[in-house]
Amino acid sequence: MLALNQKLNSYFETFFTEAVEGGTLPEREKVVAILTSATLLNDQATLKNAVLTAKQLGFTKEEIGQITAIAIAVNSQKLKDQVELKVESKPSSTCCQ
Amino acid sequence: MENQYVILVSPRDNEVQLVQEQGYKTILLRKEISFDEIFDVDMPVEMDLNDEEVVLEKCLELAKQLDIISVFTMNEYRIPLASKISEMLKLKYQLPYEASLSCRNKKMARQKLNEAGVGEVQYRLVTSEANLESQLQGMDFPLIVKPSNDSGSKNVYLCQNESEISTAIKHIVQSKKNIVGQNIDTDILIEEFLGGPEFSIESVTVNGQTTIIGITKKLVTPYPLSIEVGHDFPANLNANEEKEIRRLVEQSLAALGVDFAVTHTEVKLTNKGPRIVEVNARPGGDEIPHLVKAVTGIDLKSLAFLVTLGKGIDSLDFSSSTVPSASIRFLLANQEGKVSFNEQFQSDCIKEQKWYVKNGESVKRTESNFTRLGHFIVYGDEDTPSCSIADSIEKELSLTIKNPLEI
Repeated sequence: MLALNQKLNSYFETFFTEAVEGGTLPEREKVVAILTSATLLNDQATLKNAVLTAKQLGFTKEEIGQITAIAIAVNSQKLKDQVELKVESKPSSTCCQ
Repeated sequence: MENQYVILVSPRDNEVQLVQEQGYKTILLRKEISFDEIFDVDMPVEMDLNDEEVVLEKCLELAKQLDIISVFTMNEYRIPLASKISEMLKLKYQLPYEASLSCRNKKMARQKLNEAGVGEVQYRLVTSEANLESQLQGMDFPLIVKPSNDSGSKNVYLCQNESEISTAIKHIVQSKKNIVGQNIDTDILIEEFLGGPEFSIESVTVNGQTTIIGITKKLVTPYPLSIEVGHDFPANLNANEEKEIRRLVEQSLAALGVDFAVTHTEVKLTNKGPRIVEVNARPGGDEIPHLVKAVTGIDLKSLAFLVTLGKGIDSLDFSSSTVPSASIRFLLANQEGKVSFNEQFQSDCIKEQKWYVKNGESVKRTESNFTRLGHFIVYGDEDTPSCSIADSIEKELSLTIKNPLEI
């Protein structure tokens, strides 16, 4: 849909290319960022390409596994915190008091 | 060895495993790599393998960073590309590119063999059905019409007259690309029909020296379908026939310039002597390597990789136990309908059994190797050859195809 507005689409393309391919981060660190975000977004196509690139850059299976684990852990932590908050704020029953 | 890499060009078999078993790292080139495969190899590279220039450029780039010692594939369509990469990387042991092309392209093989005077076969090359009468002068029917560089017996026609040849050519020219998207050679081959029993010769060539590992008898349905229904190893030939076949294959591989390759050469024993049908620079399909290993202890697939490192048969770990003979039989649908077979059937004689369809499934009549229903492999013993065991087992499987009108 963004392509309907050529000007904005072109800005986006430039931004995307600069963010992903340009910038100051080394290739290895960029792929870690892409792997993490693709895992969190459950974006299978991007995840596959990121894993492919990671392997080409020499990442081991364990390293790729750990990046995924960090993404899962941070995501789960958020869920855990939300659930804990709800438990704490749940009004206690007074029927037995 | 720890940091030595092998480039695998679109493997179709267990190439990754074979290379890893020898302790080498793997670079996989394929158009699309599955998630599982990405993790199986050390360096996965997705690319269009039909864009040769890009592939060669990428391999050169990889060779600057990594110690690449071999390029390997058992994928028929990609053998010339593997040879071209090896040649460009100046690897020590390689199937020469020219030879790989001659094996892939039947027109080139015929030209080279006839030029060398090895098992001459009459043939013509045409690009259309124009001027057929003059093209066919001096040739006797029946004739075989086939594309120069397709595979799997696709678009191979047995023609009894000029009109059938014309129809066959019309069919062939319609196919512009093969199943991997490569251009089909515009030269169509018309050659004399080779009548007689068919055999395949499993061999290895290292440093120009060819060793014939064995001869397999091929069982084929009669034309026009020509479906492979089984293979028996070793073929039961008399000493003279065997000697003639061996000599023809050795001379043919030398004429084509084949080296550092395991080959699967198909031969027909005609009344004029053996003649080459085709030469493949890879181990045979249809589980032939299984039969050969059971009988000789030689693993053709492992050997196919080892020769790319300049090693021969003596570098193999031979299987400790062998059998006198081994056979495979494929099960076919003689008509369209619902397939029914005895799923519970078991026999100590069966060493491997695989159904490609489910019991009760609707199947088409088997008209090519791609629509067979399943297979089983048996071994022979000192008293009974495997082919006799296979024939009796086939009857016990109780395979039937019920026509919709019969159900």
